[in-house]
Amino acid sequence: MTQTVLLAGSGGVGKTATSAALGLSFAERGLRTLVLTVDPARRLSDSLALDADASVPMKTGISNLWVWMPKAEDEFPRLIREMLRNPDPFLENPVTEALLAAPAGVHEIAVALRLGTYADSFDVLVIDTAPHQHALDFLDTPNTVRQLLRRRSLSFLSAFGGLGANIPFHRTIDIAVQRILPLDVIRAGARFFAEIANVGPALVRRAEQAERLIAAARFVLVSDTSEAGVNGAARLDELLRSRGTPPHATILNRMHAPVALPPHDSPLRDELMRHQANAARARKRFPDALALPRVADTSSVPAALAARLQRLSLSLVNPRGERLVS
Amino acid sequence: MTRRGRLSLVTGKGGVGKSTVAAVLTQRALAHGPARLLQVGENFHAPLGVPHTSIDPLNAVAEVASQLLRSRTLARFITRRPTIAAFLKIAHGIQAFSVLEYARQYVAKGEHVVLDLPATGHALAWVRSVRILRRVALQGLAHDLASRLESELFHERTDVYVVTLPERFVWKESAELQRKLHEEGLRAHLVVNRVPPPTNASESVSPEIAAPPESAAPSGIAAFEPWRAEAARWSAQRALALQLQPQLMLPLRFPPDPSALAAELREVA
Repeated sequence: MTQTVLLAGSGGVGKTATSAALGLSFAERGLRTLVLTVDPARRLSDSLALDADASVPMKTGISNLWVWMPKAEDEFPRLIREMLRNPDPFLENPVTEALLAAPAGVHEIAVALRLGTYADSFDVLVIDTAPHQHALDFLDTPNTVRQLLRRRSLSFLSAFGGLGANIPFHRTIDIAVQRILPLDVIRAGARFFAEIANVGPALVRRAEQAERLIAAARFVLVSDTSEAGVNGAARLDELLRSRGTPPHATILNRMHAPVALPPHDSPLRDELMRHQANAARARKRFPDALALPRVADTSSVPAALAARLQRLSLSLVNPRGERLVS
Repeated sequence: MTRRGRLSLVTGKGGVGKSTVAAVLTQRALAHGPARLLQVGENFHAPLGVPHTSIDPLNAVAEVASQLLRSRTLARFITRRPTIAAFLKIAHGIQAFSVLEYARQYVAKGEHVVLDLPATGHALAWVRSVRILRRVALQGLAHDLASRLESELFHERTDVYVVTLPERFVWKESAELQRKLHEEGLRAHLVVNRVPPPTNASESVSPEIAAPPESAAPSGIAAFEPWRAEAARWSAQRALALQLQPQLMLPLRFPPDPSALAAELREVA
């Protein structure tokens, strides 16, 4: 079965580079690996020095390694074209157009709904999530979608604009919404959900597939030594534990080896001392974490770090699921 | 006529210190009159002791709905129906619009509001949500609200601050965001955060000279990071920051407080 590995952490702690490195270390074991970035910032291509845009899974120069950086504005229409026999009226619906002009929410849904269709082709899915709270939103996405796709929900939503006479409470809500939005927009919204209802069962199957992948996912927390990074990771750690899915491992990025300090009059001295203090505090908060050093040359990060991730990658695909304690 | 405030929107790539910059901007604004920092959702960063309000986007939606419907009970009844609640949870545009409207109301009271926006990928969508709603809804309460918000948002008293770091990778992304915000008709300024102080000339040697010999570290990993290499990195970062000619530059550390550092070092010892 495909093993999903989700990386979560605050912004700027090196999640994307770590995802690339982890993906590389799975690929080196001969496991067919797909690294996916849900973050709309799409920096994965920089990390792996790829020129192409990889809006569908793309094979890299490394054997067994694929990357996928879905484009926010493309993924939802692609899904619709695939699912609907006649997609044009749907894509021309003003509500669809509005959603696509600011696609943050639908993007995550479209990615989640496609996840399952790719899963079978890979041994490991490495998912690089968006910074902190958005990471958990993504985990809930398939469930929220499934809730919206229930037949009852869809008939409720597609009855706006005066079609919901038989649904309890519907009229009250419909009238209230009509006070806010013009009737043509409400009816366009109703048509939007009516179209979705046509492919509801197929979408529900996809949402369930994604839910299964996420339910069996193993989490890797990523932090750097900064206070913001460590606080963010600590909060995510709590949230993941409260969901019943404690992180499988924690990675502390950019840990410095102790250095000789510069002379007393140098402004660097305070900074390096602070860095060491931060590193020690990060260690104290996450004593079992895997520490990774700062890599001098940004473009070589994944290759340089993959070697250090071998034990972690082995434990992540180990069916007995032992947590990594370093 | 009511006194008009100002609106400052702060955005940038994740981890560049948006919240810190937002707090500094609020602090500066406080010198000229009433000001407030608005943070969206859960935030892990301390707002440096400035007056701040955290808003949950879904609460903002319920709040705006109750104002439009002139009934809190009705708005609550609607937004808490399971189907509607699930819909609102994924309707990021409606959430964005509601938070901006929430901010606008403080601005209308004459405050200078500093809004800590989400990171790059979402910030543009947030700004666009207002125009989209006005274009989609050609009449009605939502249209009026969107028009009012749009005239406030795309106004000479509104500024967007794109926070970046003195690193080429990060800056490239920020420049792209700044360009797109300009295209939307917003005045977007660049703020470079974490600019290192000038290093002594004797410390600045090129990384080639300072890097450890190949034998000391495996491929690419600086297992031993001599401070001279750090000094070289600093001067390069400082040079880049100056070259970008940003609206605002913030130092690597502030406020410089040696006693706090000493306390930290004692704590971990």
